[in-house]
Amino acid sequence: MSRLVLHPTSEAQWQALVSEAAQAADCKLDQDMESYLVFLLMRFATRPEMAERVMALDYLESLNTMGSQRFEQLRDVGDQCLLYSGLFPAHAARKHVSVDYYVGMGRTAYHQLSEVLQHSIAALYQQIAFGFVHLMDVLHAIRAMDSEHRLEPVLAYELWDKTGSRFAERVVRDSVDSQAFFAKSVKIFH
Amino acid sequence: MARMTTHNLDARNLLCPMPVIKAQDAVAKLSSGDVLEVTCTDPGAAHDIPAWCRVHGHSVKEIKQGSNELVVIIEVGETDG
Repeated sequence: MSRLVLHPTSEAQWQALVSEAAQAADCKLDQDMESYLVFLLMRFATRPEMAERVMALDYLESLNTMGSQRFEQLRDVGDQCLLYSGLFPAHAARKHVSVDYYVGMGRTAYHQLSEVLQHSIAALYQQIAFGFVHLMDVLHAIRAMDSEHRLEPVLAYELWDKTGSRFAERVVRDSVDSQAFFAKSVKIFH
Repeated sequence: MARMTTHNLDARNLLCPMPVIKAQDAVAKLSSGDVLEVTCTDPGAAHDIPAWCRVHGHSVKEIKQGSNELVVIIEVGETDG
């Protein structure tokens, strides 16, 4: 079902989408974290190729570079891992890596960034590193707004188990509840 | 009547979207009519900051483009809390 868009600018639309998704995922994002996600999505919408990089190579390269180039590479690795883990969780399976692979690498990239940058910005990157799974959950909630892209229960279980994702946990619980309800209904009718 | 004041924010060497996040934090401490001059080196800020201003009711008075940096001049609108 298509959604009625009432916001006048693309930034307002992204902002509304992220706020709605954060609420749906039961994640309280502060203004800085919410803005980070809004502008990340805006950049991704205009440069979808940013999700096509080989992140492990970019990450390794970032270790051999210095200064602003290093910062940029670490940011890109963190951002891309966040997008992959939140918007394209099945991508990990296609690449034969565990679903928490991107979570671990993204967190590490943001954490390293927080260690090499000036204090005020470092704090925000550290917050993003710590809140990575919350941000990923918000992206999952955005994805789940389209019923065709809901997280598969098996993948959700793996994600919950390995990252502690509350959104994935809810998917697993909902799936178990609906299966129990289905089994109960079948019993009653037989 | 409150006096308008001009403030400066050094967002050089910050990668997008950090300049807009720092601008957002700075604007939150200012009053309507105040001016904030944000100096950035990431060219993406020339898009991000005006986009953020449009949504939050602030206006971009000017974008000065230098060879290595740009200055975005924002007039603070009615603050949205």
